[in-house]
Amino acid sequence: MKFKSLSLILFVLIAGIFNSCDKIDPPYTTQGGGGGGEPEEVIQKVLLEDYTGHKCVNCPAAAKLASDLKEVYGDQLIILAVHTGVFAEPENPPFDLDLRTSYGDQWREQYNIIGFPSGLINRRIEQGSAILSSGKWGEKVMDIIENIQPQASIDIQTVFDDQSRNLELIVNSKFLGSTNETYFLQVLLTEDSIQGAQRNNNAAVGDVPTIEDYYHRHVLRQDINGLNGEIINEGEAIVVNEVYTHTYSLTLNAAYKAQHCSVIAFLYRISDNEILQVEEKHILD
Amino acid sequence: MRTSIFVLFALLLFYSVGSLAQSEIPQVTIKTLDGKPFSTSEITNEGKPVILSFWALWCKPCQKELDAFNENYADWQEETGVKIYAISIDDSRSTARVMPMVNGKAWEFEVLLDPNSDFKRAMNVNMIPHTFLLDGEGKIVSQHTAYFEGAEFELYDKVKKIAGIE
Amino acid sequence: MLKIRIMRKLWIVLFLLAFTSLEAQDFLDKAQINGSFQVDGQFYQPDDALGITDSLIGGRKLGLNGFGNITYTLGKFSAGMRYEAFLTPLAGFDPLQEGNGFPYLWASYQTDFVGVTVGNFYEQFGNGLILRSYEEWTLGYDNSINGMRVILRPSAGITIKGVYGTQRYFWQKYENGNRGIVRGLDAEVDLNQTIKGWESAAVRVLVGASGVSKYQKDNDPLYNLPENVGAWAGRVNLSAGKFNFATEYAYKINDPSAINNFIYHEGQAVLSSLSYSQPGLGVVLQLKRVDNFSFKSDRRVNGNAVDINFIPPINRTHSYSLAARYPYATQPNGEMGLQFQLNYKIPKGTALGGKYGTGIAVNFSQVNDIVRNPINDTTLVNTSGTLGYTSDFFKVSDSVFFRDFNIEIEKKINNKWKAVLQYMNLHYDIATIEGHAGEPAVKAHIGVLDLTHKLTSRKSLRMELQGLFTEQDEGDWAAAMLEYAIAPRWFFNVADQYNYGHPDADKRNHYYTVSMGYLKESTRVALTYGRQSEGVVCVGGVCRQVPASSGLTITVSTNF
Repeated sequence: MKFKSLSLILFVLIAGIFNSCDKIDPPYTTQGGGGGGEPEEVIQKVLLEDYTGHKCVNCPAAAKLASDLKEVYGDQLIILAVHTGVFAEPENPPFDLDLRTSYGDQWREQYNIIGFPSGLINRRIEQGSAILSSGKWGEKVMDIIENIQPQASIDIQTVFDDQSRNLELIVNSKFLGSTNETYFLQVLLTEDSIQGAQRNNNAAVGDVPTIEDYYHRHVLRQDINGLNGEIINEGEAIVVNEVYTHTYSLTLNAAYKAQHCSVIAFLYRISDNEILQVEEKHILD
Repeated sequence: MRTSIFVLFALLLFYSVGSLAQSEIPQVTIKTLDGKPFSTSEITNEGKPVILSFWALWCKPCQKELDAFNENYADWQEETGVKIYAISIDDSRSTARVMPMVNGKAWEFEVLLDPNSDFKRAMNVNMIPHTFLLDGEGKIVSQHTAYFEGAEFELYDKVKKIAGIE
Repeated sequence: MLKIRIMRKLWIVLFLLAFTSLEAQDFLDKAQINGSFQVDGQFYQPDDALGITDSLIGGRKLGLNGFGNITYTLGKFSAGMRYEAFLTPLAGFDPLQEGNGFPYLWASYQTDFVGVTVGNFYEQFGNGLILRSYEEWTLGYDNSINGMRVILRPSAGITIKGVYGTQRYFWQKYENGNRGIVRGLDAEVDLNQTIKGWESAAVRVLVGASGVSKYQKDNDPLYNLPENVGAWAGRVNLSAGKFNFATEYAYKINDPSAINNFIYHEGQAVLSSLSYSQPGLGVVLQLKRVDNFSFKSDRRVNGNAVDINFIPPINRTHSYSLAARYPYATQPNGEMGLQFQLNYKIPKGTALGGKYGTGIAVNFSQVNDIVRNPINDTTLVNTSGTLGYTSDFFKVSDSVFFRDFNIEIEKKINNKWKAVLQYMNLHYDIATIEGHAGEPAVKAHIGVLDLTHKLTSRKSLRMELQGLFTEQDEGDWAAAMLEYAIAPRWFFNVADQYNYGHPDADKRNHYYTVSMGYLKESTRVALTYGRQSEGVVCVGGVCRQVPASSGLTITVSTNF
């Protein structure tokens, strides 16, 4: 008797647990609207720094995820692929591509990034760490875009001369709210769609174990204003709505394809490296 | 909250030092070789000493120690009535292989399973092999970790002392 | 805040429960305090031959992992705590491990009928296929549940367990739904004790059933994710005389996660074993099938953390260093495996058994992939945001993850000499297991000879000779070890592993170590100086990559 009533109670409890289950029916994915807003309106943008390497087997799936996110958020999400560490070391062909940069090496060491792929999203620190495995990217990007009010705007102007391969840059930064913090401006050059071999273990993304003709997207090529960028307000308070102008001039490396090159500029707070605002501009636009 | 708990523990520790040397084994539910629940309060030997040894299939020195016990077990039992319990901390990856191996080695003592290390934790065992010696009242009188050839005789000297045979 | 207040109240209630029937003096006199302590330290030094440079060490010259554990028991009441400090963690541990504090605090009250625990606890339902929280110090793995547990034993042979809480994720506190909530229920019935007339039946039957559900909010911009994921399992254990049969089946509804590439396929797992044993002979056969069965309380995590369940790998865990060089780890996304083991003791007094008998163990295990078919003509297998694939339950893929055939012979030659001889034949899919995509599977022959020579009743010499022969990965290895022990106090040990067959001649390194240890009662102090080769350490189903290192290691461990 005791046994019967007990099994009844158990049955009810187990049924209870299962009643609360969420069996999801297709479609499983949500449809994105694409980022945007009024042209005049300042919108908060997000930088996803994807620490990656061409010998990292899990990296293509993460890169695919990043590009899926970009389809949802459009220009509001800016991707920067940072090739660094043992997985990015060149080897015998076809893995002889070297996409490493001293910028990547420095920041990997600073954040002690060991696992690949790892992402930094606006370098926001939560619960002691800014490093996010790819499973956490979507949520964090959405969180920033939906909940953070823009506190600065960045405008990039580019002039590229095809003959001399000279690139002139003007970066205008403006703060929309007062702050006592110290900020740095970092300007970087990226090249998109560099072709080369990539290790892969996910058949849904490409050939396993090697994708021979992989396109490395959003690859960081070099820093334009130093490994840490340059300070905006040395010992002085930021003046709200004042335009801080920085100009740069460089010769584009002959190996880079100009039609694939972009400039990324972002403002970050020196106290915790968090990125306040970020902007991207194709050099030919 | 954490600090206050810590202070409480420190006080308890301070006041209970006298009882440290004579602790009994905690009551935990583990399993017999055929998967049935077994309460550690049943580890008794009618007033005679008990050897309690933590081991696992992946631990070679543990098996060497238990082999050494097994070689002498018949003699030891005759002389002192000591009873040996070997507690396997193998988890579900290897629990199914424990019984065949125990029988395969023809071990004659009782073997029990602690598949989620509940008893191991309750006994504060850090590394195995870890062997406890209990007196007739079930109090822990000595313990040692690691096994080297010949260590079983040192243990048996202590068993004899408890059993009153010199 | 509210949670802390509730917890505090519970503590008070538990204390009151424990002490109402006791005099104040009992609180002190009848109580028991036990504990344990361990610290593992490593001083790292640069080593050119191993490629360890100053910049690689990066100022982290000293790694220290330590813990202290205290348990207080008074009658039916007990409470405990563990302090841990990873400052900085040893090489190869997750950087998130860095920190210190009390990750394990608990109080419990237990009678024969009921047991309640509040705070952190470890629990396992059945084989752990849908719920297991445990802790493995050597790996830095701890997925303890922080919450409440009730265990009821309403009558002899019936055990019911209920748990709920959140799981430990290194040092990150649970707050604001930053990971999932776990709740579970398990019942186990010993039919021989509960059904009249079965008390002394020849067949012993134990049945169990469990259900686990996790809740995690869906904040994902790409996928429409299930916020409540349920899993259930049923198990039977039959024993009749010398035979024992055990099986467990588990099912899980759609649970897209970083591990399964966000597919909506359901999960299944089966684990069965059949054994026969009698004194001197033991035989066991185990079968297993796992299909999409990673179950974590945070779907976004893809490392070794916050697992709700445990899928046991079924293969032998080897103890000798070269035999353990290529350890298998469960592939939670899908695998089918079997294991066979025979233990036999050739009796004393026979030609092969000799004076003391001879022990023989034969073990075979193989694990293959499962077969995955596309869900339709246009979708690739395992595409995120789809059902992923369909799989035939009984079909085995040709792709072999792991195969291990080994024979071990144990022989006591005479009063002075003992020997263990082992041969192992290995197939190890290093591309899948260690993520070295594109590398060919390692096929290796491994031989081990372990000789013990007794010098006096307390002094002994032990020698290990090992060889690993393979064309793949790092090529051939040889290892030798000599140990002198004065039981039960001292040991001295010199060892060398030599990677003489490395395809790159510059990397044919010696990994020598010199160690000594002192043991008294339960205290162990050990010192090792030398090099450690790169490798994988696995305990249970979890593995940790250990980088090559060079330097001094110290371990101090005790309990009281």
